[in-house]
Amino acid sequence: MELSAYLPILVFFALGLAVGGAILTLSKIVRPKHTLVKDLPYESGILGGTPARQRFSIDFYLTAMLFIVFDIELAFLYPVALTLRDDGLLGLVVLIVFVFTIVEALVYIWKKKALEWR
Amino acid sequence: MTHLNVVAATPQIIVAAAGVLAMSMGLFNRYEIRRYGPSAISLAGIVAAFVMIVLLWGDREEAFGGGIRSDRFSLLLSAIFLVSAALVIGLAWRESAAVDRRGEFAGLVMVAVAGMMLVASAGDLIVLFLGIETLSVALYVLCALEVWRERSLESGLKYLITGAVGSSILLYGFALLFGATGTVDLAEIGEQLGGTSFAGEPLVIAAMALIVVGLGFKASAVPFHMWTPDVYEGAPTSITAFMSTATKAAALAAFLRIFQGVLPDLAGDWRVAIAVLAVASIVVGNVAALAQDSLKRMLAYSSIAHAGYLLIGVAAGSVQGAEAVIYYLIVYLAMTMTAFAVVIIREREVENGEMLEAFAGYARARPVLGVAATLAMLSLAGFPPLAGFIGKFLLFSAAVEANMTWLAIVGALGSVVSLGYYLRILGVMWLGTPADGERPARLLAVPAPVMMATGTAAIAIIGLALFADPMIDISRGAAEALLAP
Amino acid sequence: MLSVLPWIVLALPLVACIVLMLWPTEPDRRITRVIAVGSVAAAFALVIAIFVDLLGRDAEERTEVTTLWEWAAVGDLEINLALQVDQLSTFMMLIITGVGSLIIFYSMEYMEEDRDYRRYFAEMTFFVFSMLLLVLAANYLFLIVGWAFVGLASYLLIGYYYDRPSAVAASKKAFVVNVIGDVGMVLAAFLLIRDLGTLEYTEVFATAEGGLGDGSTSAEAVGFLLFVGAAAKSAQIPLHTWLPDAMEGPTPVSALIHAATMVTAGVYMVARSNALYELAPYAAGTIAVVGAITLFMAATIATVQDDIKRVLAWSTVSQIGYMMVAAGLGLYGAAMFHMMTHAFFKACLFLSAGIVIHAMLGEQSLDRMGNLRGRLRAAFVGMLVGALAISGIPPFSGFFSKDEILAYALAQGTLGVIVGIVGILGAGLTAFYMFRLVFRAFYGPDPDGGYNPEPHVTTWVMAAPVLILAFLATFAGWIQVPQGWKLVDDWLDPVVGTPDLKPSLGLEAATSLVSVALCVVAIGVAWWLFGHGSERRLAHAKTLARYREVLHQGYYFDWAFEKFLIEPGRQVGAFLRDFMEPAAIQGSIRSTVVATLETARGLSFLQAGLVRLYVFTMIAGLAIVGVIFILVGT
Repeated sequence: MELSAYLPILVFFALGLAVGGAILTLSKIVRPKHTLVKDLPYESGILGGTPARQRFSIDFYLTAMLFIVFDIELAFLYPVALTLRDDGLLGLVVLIVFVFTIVEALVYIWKKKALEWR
Repeated sequence: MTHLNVVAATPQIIVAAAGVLAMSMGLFNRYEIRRYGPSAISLAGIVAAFVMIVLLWGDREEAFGGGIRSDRFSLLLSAIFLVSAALVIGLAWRESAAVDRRGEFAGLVMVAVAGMMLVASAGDLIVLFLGIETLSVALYVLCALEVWRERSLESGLKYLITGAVGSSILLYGFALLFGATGTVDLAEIGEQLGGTSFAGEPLVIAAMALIVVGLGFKASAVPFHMWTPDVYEGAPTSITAFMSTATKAAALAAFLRIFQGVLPDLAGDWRVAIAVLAVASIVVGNVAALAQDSLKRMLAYSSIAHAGYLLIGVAAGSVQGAEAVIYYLIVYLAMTMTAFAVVIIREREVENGEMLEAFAGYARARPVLGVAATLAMLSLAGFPPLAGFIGKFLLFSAAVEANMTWLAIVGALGSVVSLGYYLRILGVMWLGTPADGERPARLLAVPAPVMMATGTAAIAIIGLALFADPMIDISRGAAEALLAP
Repeated sequence: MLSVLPWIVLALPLVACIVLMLWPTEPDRRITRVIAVGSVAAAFALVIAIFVDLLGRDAEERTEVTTLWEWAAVGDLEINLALQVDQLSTFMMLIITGVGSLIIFYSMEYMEEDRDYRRYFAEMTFFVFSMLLLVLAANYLFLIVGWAFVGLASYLLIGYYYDRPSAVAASKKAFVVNVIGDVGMVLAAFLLIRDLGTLEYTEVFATAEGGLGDGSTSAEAVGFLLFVGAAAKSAQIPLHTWLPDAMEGPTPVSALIHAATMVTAGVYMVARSNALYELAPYAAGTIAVVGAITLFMAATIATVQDDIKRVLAWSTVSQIGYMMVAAGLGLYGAAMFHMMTHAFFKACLFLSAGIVIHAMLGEQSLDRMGNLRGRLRAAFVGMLVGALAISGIPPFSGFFSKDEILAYALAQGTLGVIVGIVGILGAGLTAFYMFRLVFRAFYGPDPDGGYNPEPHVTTWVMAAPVLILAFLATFAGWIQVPQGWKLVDDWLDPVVGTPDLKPSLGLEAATSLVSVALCVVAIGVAWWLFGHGSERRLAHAKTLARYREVLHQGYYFDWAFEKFLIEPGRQVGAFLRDFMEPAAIQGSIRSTVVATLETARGLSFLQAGLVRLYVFTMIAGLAIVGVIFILVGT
């Protein structure tokens, strides 16, 4: 086949490079300049005491992660609720399986003491 | 909803349910349930799924409106995954990761198997990708299961990062394929691309390239193999065994499903790229394995080389090729499991049990294990008339018949080189002298489940050679099912 | 009867091997002996029964194929576990089981002082089984299986003394070289499958002319690839380097495997594939040329060896060269005849050498020998007869078989004349190096420092096989006499055919005269140089030092392989390990030494870098794959 058929790909690559490059250069020009004072955290006029980059307990991340997982999974329930009437028995069964899986996961992390603050 | 036909998907459902159940078993306070429950449930699930596979054996049936296909191909591949999982659960009986976290271990293995079965039986691109992600995520965790061991964590992390890249490339390929054809259904894609109108379409070409790369990553083909030695070495050994057998089988299943099953008419376009990957894998895998002192790393490179051999069958682009790949996957399962079993047994006995020097004189002290290891190594090297030889013979002759004699030659030369390191292992095991004294240090009794798994795998190496004919027949049935309307 | 007997012949040594291996403890040595010797001797008896049965049939009805079970069917290709009894395989079986039982009998005494008595005999019977499978197989696949099995047996037996690093290295070398040959054969099998769709001998030979085409590229390719296998197994240049090293095995092993039977399998295979080589004149010509080069180079190298077994090893390489010359020129009968006489006299020589080595507690250097003829009579008789036979002095057997090859070669056109002349020169060298060995070991004064302890005399267990083989080496030649009767050729004729061009009486007479005269002169020179102690020898060795060095190095084949194949391979492997995989090194630095935070930070930096490298490689790979697709697409 003709090589010319690959022209769109070439154009696509070129475009991708151009856009990426443009964004980087622009932000370099436009972005605010940093100075030492500007970088200081603003604490209502009171000078900051401790460095901002301190370590958090790993439990923050764990809890946050678990929240996201369950939150997104439960978000699935909203669309299902709208069509539950049309889906009939099958839809209900599928939903029950889905909810069961989530509950199972909840029980699991509960038993694993992942929700307890240490 | 008329095509629900849940029956055809029962093996997958059983395995997934068993996985969830097995994981919960690990939560019980009673030690016995925590210790034996997960394995028992998993094994029961495996047996039940196996029975369903036997019952379903036959022509194609579809479940969930075509999303899941149950044909001879998917059923046979599922059987491979199940056997692999059963052996791994047996082998890991006393492995530290598996003992302390038995629930997670067995549960995740089962979830991974469910993902693999989805890959093998996928009827559309979405299910295929779903399957690949299911198995990958389960494996990321499994690799890092020994959280107290730095190497294990590193292994899981590396696999996660590179795996994410691999998956995204694959997904990009699927997206382009969808873009080119406007459908995710594999059968419809096949129909659309069967004609000539789409064949030279850049979109399709790009899609194929991306898919080759994405799947090549999962099969650990060169140059997408870099993660393999590190991950294989760091992961718990039973998981390494599982990854190098079942995961590889799943990746090859995806290769066959897409290229042989959906795009056979475009073989002229994709076979060369796959052949190049095969050659690169054979060369790099075999040569790099020569310099390894850790058995796990050596087997990791050996598994890279075997990905190459297997890809030869895919590149042949014929029913014989697919048949050879399937048969070799079965054989490869038996011999690799045996090889890893020996490492697992030794690792429990001494520190650094995966290093070559830990095996000095080991076969003399443990002749039965020694014979099993010898069978596995010789078979891996393709020594006639063991099963590995028959498998390679089928693969290479498929290449010759597809007029790719050069591939067969590279493969054959590769297996000569591979003798260098397989013989080295055998030499050390039979002829080596242990560093301290006459007998190798610390021989412990081997737990019965480990012994049973090892024995089964070792006997299978002989059985697959003696009864090659029926196995090849079954493989051919599976290969033909790929193209069945 | 012929459908059952070969299976029993095949099963006997296999059962013996299995019984010996599975015996729960190290069995009583008497039991081991009875099982090992009994099984092979019984197999020999049955082979004679087969032979007699075949004799009673018409020549056309002497081929019998029996199938045990259909092993694998791939598409139209069917591969059966089947045995083919015919004149050629019976001929081979007679040699294998006959010489085999003598040598195993001899081993009873020779191996007496070794541990692992059982392992030795189990491996020997396994070898006999494999060799029988090789010659009985009715298709190329099981030929390859037998081929690989004898390779395995040879590997095990060369490495028999596994505590000697040199033995382990030699066994590995032998195995790897043999596998290179296996690859050639497997590739040839692929081509046969592709073009003929079968591997069964009867079908391949029947359809070869139509399927491959006379002189076609595929026919030549099959011929060349099969010869790669034959060259590796039969130690032909450049795949010969493993055989001299293989002398690390016990001497009876050298006699049976590395002289009488296994190494001649290549000649058998070429003879078996004669129908293919008729279609491949260039491949056949190559065999003759390689054979001629091998016979000459090996003979020259043999003249400077100081190890009694290495002389014999190089001599074996050289003699197989003669057989290859004959096979390459289409003189299959002559090749098989020489194989038979060679089996007798070379086994005789090796077993005599074994007596010497055994008597001197493992000493193999000719420098430590001398004046042994009165001390070890049986060895002396065996060695002398063997030397006369291999040199081609009438009426010993070598005369008939070697001169048949040379005379017929000279009658086969230009190529034949060239290789024939090389062969005659080689015959002179053969006489020289063999009598060098005889004179240095058995004549002259005692070695410096005398014998300490005095060599002990052998029992009849070791002497009897030597004397039987000496008898055969003397008289076996008479079954095929120039211009007279040709029992071997006639027997094999239906399988391998006879050459069209026959030498005239004058040519045969002239060939014999020239070669015998050359040999007599060579023996005279050897006597002058080596018959009276070491003075003359050492003086000449000094003047010829430069040439001797080339020969000592075996024309630098080993050096070249090491330098150009093995060392680069090792370096690539090491490079991959050291530079491509810093992770491995990092892994081996166990945390006991560097469990500090600082190193942890260093390590994590490295790791992050590595994963970036991995991902980068993947993307680069993606680019390569993309380019391939585009190239193929356009």
